[in-house]
Amino acid sequence: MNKSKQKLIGFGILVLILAGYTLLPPELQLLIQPGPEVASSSQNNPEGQRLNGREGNSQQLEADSHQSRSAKPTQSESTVRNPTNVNTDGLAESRKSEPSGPATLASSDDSTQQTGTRRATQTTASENHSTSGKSRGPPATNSEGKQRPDDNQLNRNQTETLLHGLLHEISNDQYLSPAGLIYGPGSAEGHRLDHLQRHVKDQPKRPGKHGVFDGGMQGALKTIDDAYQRAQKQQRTTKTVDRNRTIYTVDLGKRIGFVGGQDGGRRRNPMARRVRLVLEGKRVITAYPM
Amino acid sequence: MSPQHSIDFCPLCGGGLCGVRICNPQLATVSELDSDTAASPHGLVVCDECDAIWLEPDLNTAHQYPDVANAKCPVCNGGLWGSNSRWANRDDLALLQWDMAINPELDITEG
Repeated sequence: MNKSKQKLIGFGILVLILAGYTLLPPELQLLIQPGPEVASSSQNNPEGQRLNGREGNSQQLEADSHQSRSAKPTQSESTVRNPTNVNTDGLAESRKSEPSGPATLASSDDSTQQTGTRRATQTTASENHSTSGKSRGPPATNSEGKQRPDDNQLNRNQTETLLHGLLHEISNDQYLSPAGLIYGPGSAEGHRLDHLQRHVKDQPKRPGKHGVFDGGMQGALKTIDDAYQRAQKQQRTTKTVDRNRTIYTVDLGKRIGFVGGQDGGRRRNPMARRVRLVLEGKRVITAYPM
Repeated sequence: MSPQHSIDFCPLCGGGLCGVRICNPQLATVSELDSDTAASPHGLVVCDECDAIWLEPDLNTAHQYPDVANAKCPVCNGGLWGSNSRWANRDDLALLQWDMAINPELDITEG
């Protein structure tokens, strides 16, 4: 019983010491470097230190501490470093990385303005997070200090220029989709987006078929992006090239709209699962369900 | 913005109507103009989806594509969708002598 009690008490003491050590600020942890060694030595002889005299054990403790100091500095430093990397060093690093976070986003923004990979920023903007970390794992802690104003400004800029919640204005009246498609001036309606808007509403009196996207403009734009990405991967896609024009027909395998117009109306507006996409480079000429 | 009178469905994009457009229709009453000049009224067949252009009311002839952002008539170099151009009505078809080339089933009576 005594031995078991002693063991329990010793174990409890050890747990308390370890818990206290981990909860201490890093500065104190540095000061208490011999602490873990003491704890470890106490772990080895928890009751001996207390019950079996002190001289021998103190010598042992000194020896142990000496050994620990000499042998375990790296370990202690590493153990200290690891938590500090998360805490103070982590803060420092995070602050250092904070500019890189939004800078990365900004640079990615700038680059995506040019290259067209807009998903992360679009996702961030569409989520309307005040910090970038919420949409990305690691920078979640980088939501302090300098990050927030820059990030808020970035998100503000993103939300200001996002059209239909998806398109980023890259220049005067030209918009870039997350998949890299460009919508700009052109067509009889004056702008490709206005032309595309024809395909979010049925025209029952139009001869032939008239494809209508589900989900309004945002749904149409998302579907077109999806179709384009699949076309790039040649997934269930037929492709025709005519001079500088590329015409994709992509089967998305699910309903993306319906067939309207006179023909569609006669057949009770069957659902559409394919998208016909007419591009000139990355510029959208037209797109419609079929 | 749909064509009033069309030749056929577009063989290129599959979904558009190849409608007849007329440029400079206001000059039809000017008798001094030679009918072959670019300034005189002239017809185009244009797909209202992909903007493909034919210079003849026959879709088997050669087609061309205008500039993506600033489409121009290849005959008069005026804006394809500008104020000097419009979808041809019946009178315009008669003027162009293209009234027999259209498919009446594709007519859209409402603008």
